[in-house]
Amino acid sequence: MTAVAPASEDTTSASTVVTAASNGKGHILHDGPAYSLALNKEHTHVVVAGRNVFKVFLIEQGGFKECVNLRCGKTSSVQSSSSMDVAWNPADDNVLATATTGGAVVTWNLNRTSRNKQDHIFYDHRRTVNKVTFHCVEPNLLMSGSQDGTIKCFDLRLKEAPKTYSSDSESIRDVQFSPHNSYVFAAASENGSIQIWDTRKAEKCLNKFSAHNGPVFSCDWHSELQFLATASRDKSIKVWNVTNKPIAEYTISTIAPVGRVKWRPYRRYHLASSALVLDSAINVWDVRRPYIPYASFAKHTDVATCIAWKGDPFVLLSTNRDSTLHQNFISEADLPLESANQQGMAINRDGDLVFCCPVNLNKVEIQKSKESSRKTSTTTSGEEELNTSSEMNVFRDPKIVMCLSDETECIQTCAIQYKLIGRSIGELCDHNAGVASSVGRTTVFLFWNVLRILYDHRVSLIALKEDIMSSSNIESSFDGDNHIGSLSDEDGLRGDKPYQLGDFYFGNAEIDPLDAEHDQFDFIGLQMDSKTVEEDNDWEVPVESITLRHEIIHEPIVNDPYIPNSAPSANKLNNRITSAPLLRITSPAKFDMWNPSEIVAKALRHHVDEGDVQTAVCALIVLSDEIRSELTHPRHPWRLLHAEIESWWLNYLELLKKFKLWSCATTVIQLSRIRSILQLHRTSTSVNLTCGWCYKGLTRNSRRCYNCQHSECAKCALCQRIVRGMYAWCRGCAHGGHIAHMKQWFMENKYCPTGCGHMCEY
Amino acid sequence: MVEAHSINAEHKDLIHDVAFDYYGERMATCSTDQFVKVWDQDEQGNWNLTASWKAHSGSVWKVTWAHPEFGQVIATCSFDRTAAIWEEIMGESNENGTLLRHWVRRANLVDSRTSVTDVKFGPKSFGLILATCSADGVMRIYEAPDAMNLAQWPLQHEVSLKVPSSCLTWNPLLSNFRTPNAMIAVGSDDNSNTSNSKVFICEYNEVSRRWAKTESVASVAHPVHDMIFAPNMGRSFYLLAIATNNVRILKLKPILNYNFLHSDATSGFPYTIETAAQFNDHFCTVWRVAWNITGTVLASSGDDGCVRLWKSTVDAWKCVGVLKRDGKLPQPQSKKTQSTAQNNLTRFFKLGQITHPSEVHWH
Repeated sequence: MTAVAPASEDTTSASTVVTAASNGKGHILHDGPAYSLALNKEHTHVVVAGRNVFKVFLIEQGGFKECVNLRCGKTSSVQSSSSMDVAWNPADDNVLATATTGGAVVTWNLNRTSRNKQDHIFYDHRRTVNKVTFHCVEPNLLMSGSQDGTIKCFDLRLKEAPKTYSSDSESIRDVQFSPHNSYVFAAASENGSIQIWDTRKAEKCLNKFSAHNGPVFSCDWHSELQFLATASRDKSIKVWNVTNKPIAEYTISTIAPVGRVKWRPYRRYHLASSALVLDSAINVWDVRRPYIPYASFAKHTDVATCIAWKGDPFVLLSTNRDSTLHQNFISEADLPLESANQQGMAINRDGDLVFCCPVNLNKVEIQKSKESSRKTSTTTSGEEELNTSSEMNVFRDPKIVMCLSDETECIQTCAIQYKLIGRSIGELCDHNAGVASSVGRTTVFLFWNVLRILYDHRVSLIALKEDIMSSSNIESSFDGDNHIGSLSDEDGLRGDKPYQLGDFYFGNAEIDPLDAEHDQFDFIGLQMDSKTVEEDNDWEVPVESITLRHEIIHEPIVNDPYIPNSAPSANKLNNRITSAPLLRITSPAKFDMWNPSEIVAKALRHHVDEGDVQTAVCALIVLSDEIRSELTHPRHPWRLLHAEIESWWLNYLELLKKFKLWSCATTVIQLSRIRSILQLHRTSTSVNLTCGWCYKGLTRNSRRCYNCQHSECAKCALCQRIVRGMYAWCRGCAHGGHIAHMKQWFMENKYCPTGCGHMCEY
Repeated sequence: MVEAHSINAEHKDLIHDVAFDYYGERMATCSTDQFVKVWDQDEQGNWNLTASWKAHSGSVWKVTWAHPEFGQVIATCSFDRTAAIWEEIMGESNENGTLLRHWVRRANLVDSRTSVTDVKFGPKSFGLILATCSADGVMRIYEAPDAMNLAQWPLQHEVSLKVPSSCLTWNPLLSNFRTPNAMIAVGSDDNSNTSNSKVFICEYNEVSRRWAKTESVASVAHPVHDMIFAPNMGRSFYLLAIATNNVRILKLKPILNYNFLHSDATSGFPYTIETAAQFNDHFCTVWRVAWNITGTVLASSGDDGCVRLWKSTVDAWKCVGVLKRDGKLPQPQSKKTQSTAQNNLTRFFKLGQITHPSEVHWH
C-alpha cells in the first residue's frame, strides 16, 4: 500500500475521517449514492463510484476512512458524467478504471501528483458503458461491456483501438473473465442470454444460451468449479454448469429482481445477492437450498447497488441506494432458517397427534455449534451438511397415554348415550351415571349419582316435609333403623359388591348428601390402588362439597374431626348419624333451609373449569326448570349466571359440532331453554317447498301452487286427497302420498300407484 | 402400544408447520420448499396427499384452516413477506367420475415489509378475520367484510410491538361472557435482549374500535417459539401454553366480581396472569405446543425430538407420556410399575433417559 499512501497524504487536507459503526448504519456518502464498488487486491481499500461520487476509502474495523477523492480538480465532460462501474487493477494498486454513462472508459492513476488522477480516456463505445473489468492474470487487459451491445478489450499499454466483440444482440450488462481459462470470458445481456467468448476469437462467441426470461444484470464465475451464477430481473438466480453444454445446476427464486450476485469466497455453495428494487436485504444463499437465504442482511433501508466480499467469507461490502457504504459481517446477519420453527405439531379431535421434525436433529445441533464458532473458524471446507428434510409421523391412539384418544371417545360416547329428557330426574341421572362409568369417568359417574340423590326424591321430599311439618311428631321420621339400613349398604359396598344404587334410604335431606359422600369415598378408596393418576381429580368434587356444606350448616357436625382425604371409619359414621337426628330435633327449621343448589352450582363450575363442559351442560338439561331457576336465582351470590350457562352451551355445541354429532347438538339446543341458544336453531334454517309440476316455490301453509293453479303435487296418489303432514314420494317419478298409504301399496305392488309405469323405489 | 404412522411428506426441505382442519379430517403441511400440501384421511385412517402446490416464493412458515362454515379455506404466511388466502374449489369431474378439486389463491396480503411469521384465523363468531405477525414486530388484522368474497381482505388494524414476532394465537372465545374483547397473544423470538418480555396480549377495544397492546407478560424472558390458547370449554379462566426455553402454561383469570360484570370496566388489564405450570423436562429449546380438543392435555415438542404430553391434575400438571419421533416409546409401562402415580412418573423418565442418552448429551 506504499503506492497509495503518498496519494492519500496529498488529500488528507480535503478528506475528513469518518468512522461509522458497523451496526448497520454504514458510512454515509454525502455526494449521493454510489453505483459500484471495487476492492484492491489486498482488500484494504475500497473505491466507490457513482453519479457524483468517486472516492477511495481505507477499510477499518469499525468503518471507513476516506483516502482519496477522485472527483475534484477541474471537471471535464467525462468526469461530470456519472460512473456506472469501477474496477481496481488486480496487479497495480494505483490503477483504476471506470465506465461512464457517456460511453467513455477512463483509467486513473493514483500515483499522479496532480489532483486530477485521470490517466486515459477511451472513447470507443457509443452508449453507456455498463461494466469494466480487468483481466485476472494480465493486468494490462481491460474489458468493457456497453449498452451499444459490444464488448471491447483495451490494452492499457497500447492506448489504442481495442478488440471488439459484437454480441449482435442487446446491451451488455456484465462481463466476467473466467478464473479457469485466461482466454474465456462470459457476457450477460439484456435479452436474457449469456455468451461465452474466447478473447482470441472476436468474430463469434464460443457458446450462447438463453439463461433467463428477462435481462441478466450480473454474472459471476465460481472460483473452483465451472459454475457461472447469473442474476436476472425475472427474480431468479441460476447457477450454470458450463463444463460442456450449459446446464442450470441450481435455480434460486427470489422475491425481487436480482441486481447483483457474488460467490462467497472459500464456500463452495454460497453466494451473495442483492435485489435491484423492492428488497433492501442482501442475501447469502446456499445454492443447494434455493428456497431461503442462508443468511440475510436485512437492516438496510434501501436496496444495495453493488456488493463485494472483502477477500474473506465473513465480511461483505455493499453500497446502497440510500448513499451509504456498509461492511456487513456474517456474524451479525439474520439466519432465517435458524430462528424458524423447524417442527410442526398438531392434535386433532380424535386424539391423533401429528409431529414433524427434521430427520437429523443432532446435525442441527452440530451446525449450530459450527455457526457459533464461525467467527474463529478458518476452515475453508464450506462443505457443511445440509439438513433439508423433515419426517412426519402421525401418532394414532396413544393408548399407553390414555389421554388423547380416550378423552374424545368419552365425549362422543357420552354425547350419544346420555339421556337428557323423557324420564324422571332419578332415572336420567341413573342412566347417565351408568354411561359415565361405562367409559371410565369415575368423577362424572359420582356426580350423576350425587345429583340423583340430591334431586330424585326432592319432589317426594317436599311432600314428605309437609307431612312432617303438619304432624307434631318430628322424630318419628328419623328412627334409627333407617340409618342403620343405609350404613349396612355402605358396608356392603366396601365388600366389593357390585355397586347398588337405589338401595339407600332417603329419609331426609340432611343424610342424603352424606350418604353420597360416603359412596364417593368408598368408591375412591377402592379405586385408589389400581387406578392411575387421573383419579386424583376425583377428590375435588366431594371435598369441595363437604367443606362447603359444613360451613353452611353451622351445627355440631362442623366440630367433627373430619378428614376428607381418609375414608371415614365406621365409628365416625355412627357418631355422625347419632348426632344428625339430634340436630334435626333441636332445630327443625334448618332442616328446610338446607339447599344443595350452591354445592351443585360449584360442582358444575368445577367440572367446567376442569375442561368437562359436557357434564355441566347435560346436568343442567336433566335438572328440572325449578332447580335451574334456583341455581340461577339472583338472590344467591354464588348463582350461575345466564351468560355463564350460555357460554357453556356454546362451548358444548362447538364440541358436538366438531364431532359432527349434529342431532345431539340439535337436541342440546332444543333443551337449552335459553333464548339466545334456541335462536341458533332458527338462524339460517329454512324449509322451502316447491311445486312438483312447475317448480315454482309454494307459499307458506299452502299446498296449492299459484303458478300452475293445481295441487297435484300435494295429493296422495291413492286417496286423491291433499296430504297434510308427512308426504312420501318416489324420487324417480315424483309420485307419492300419505306414508301409510304408500306403505300399504308397496307391500303388494312394485309399480307406481298412479299408473305411470315407474317401478318406484322407496 | 402407540400406533405411529410415518408419512412420507415428500417435501424437499424442512416442514415448518402442520395443521388440522376443524374436524381433524384434513391436514395441511408447509415447508421451506415453498410448497403447501393438503392431506385427507380415508376410511381406514390413512392420510393421502390430495393437493400440493407452490404457494410462495420463500419458505412457508405457517398454515392454518378457516372454520368450515366459510368453505375450505387455508391461510399461509411466508418469508417472502406475504400471507395468502387459498380456497379449494370443485372443478369438473374427470372420466372416473370423481370431482377434481384444486386450490386457488384468493388473496395475497402484502402489507408486511419483512417475513410474515404467523397467520391465524380468528374465532368464528368474529366472522372471517385473520391476524398476522411479522419479523418486524407488527401485528395486522385483516377482515373479509363479505364471507362470500375471499378476494377482499382489507387491512383493518396494525399494532406495532417493536420486537420481532414469531407466533400469535387467538383467544378462542365463543361468547362475550367474561371477556367482551377479542384477544390475541403475540410471542417474540428476539434473542438479542433477554430482559424484555416476550409475550404480549393485544385486545380489541370496543369503545375506541382499535386493537392495542394491553399487557406484556414479564415472566417470560426467553425467545418464544410457539404459543397457543387452550380451547376455552366454558372455563372461568384462559390457559395459554408457551414454547420457550421450557414449556409454560399461563393462566389468565378475569378479575371480575360478579357484581361488576355488566359495568364496562375499560381501564386497566382485567386479568390476573399467573404461571400455572412450567416444565423443564425437554432440557432444550421447546419448539411447539398443542392442546387436545378440550384443553386438558398439552403436547410439547423440543429439540430433543420428543413429544411430551402433560395433563392437568388437581394440584399440578403431570407428564403422562413421552413419544419419540420415530414413534417408539421409551419402554411400555407394565402394569406392575403403576403402583402409584408418582413412582410411575419417575420411572418413566428414567427409562427415557437411559434408552436415549444421546438426546441430552449436549446440555
